[in-house]
Amino acid sequence: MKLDIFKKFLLSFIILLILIFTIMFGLKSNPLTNHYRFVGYDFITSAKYYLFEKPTKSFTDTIDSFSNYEDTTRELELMQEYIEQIAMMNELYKEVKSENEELKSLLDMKNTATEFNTRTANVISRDADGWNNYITIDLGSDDNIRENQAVVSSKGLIGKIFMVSNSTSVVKLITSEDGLSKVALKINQANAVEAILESYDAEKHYLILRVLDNNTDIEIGSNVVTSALGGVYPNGILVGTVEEVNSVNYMLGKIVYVKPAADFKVFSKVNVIERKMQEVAEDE
Amino acid sequence: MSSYVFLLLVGVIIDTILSGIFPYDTSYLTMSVVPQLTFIILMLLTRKCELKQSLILALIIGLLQDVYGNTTFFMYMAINIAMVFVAYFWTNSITDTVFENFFFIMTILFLREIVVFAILHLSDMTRLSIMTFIIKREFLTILVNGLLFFIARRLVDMVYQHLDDKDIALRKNEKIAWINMNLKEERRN
Repeated sequence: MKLDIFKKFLLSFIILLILIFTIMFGLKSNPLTNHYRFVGYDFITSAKYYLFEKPTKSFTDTIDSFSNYEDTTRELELMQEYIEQIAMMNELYKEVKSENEELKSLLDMKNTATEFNTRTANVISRDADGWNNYITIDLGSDDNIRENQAVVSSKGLIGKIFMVSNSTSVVKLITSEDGLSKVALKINQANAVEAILESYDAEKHYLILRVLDNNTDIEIGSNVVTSALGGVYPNGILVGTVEEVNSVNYMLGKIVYVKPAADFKVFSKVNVIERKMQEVAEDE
Repeated sequence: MSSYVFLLLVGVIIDTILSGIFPYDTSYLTMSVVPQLTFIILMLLTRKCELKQSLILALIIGLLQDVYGNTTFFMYMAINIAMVFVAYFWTNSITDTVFENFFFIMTILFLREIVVFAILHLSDMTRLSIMTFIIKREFLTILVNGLLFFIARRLVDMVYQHLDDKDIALRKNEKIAWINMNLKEERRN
């Protein structure tokens, strides 16, 4: 069967596509190609941020600050009052901290699950299409960032480190619907209850938690925080508040809907949490 | 070909700037915009480019989106190539008026989004309902990209004008060379 030029081109194009697909599939999990892919990803992400996004954001922030001048002045007055209160609270905090250190030394405790270091990072890229629920920050393995470290915004937990390259890291947000962002949590109420974050319900805008205990009552409005039992996150990072509780027929446990504390629309700076207990365990 | 690549690069830069100004709300509390100027330019180029060139451009853009996106393996590359084929066969039946081009671009953009949504829904990467998808994502995306269409069309027209001017200058030089050659022969005779 003689093929005309168009069909020959189409056939060779399809063969080329299959070849590329096979090669990409074969190389995808190869550590060497992953290394070069991350190097390219670092360069492209950083160039995109510092050449285009950062100047644009500075310009829009300047415009915003002019247009919100009155609100900004009012906020400034409130902040000044708050700062005066902070000075007093700071002294109280120092007092409580020194008491805590003294008690820990008496009990010979090294680090607790609530102690952690924080590293501030800039968000240099967001997943433009929005399907993957990733953000990229400007800290990487050169800054001692490791996979599965918690990432928080000023209001609460937003995700965990998913991939680390030399100078950037990819954070998987807890609003991911693919169920790959499981986190060990605790519902803070009179009888604290352990739960697991399963996924995010985009219809109700709530996080979906599973509690593996049919007998415990869960109070609406309770705060949900991270639990150190998972071995990854420190204790006590705010995740959200309980809004709804449903029992599941024929299945163990309850489904709890939690309103996230963090704002997932706009955040330009985040903190990466490093547990001190983790450092001690690794040193040992 | 280099002019087309440069044009797509301009589209990528503008998309980057717009996605920084309008960040995507992953919690779906508010409506979001996904600028698609690069894709619109690719579809407008498919009208007048050869199929080969359009497919290669679609492959490159799709590959960058797949590698850059980190999870969608081969998906955007395959979808862009499929859309180029759709555009190629569709544009054979339409003229170059603004209205027809606008309708063509909006339809193919919506088709692309629906295909991406369907694939992600089937692979369980999202459990968004179709209504939420349309209200929270598609509505503003189509609206804003409708405005971006006019920018894309202007940019594509500028590139074609530049290429046409180059062609005319080249042919003018060839004509002058041919006339000079004829004059020389006549003088010899």
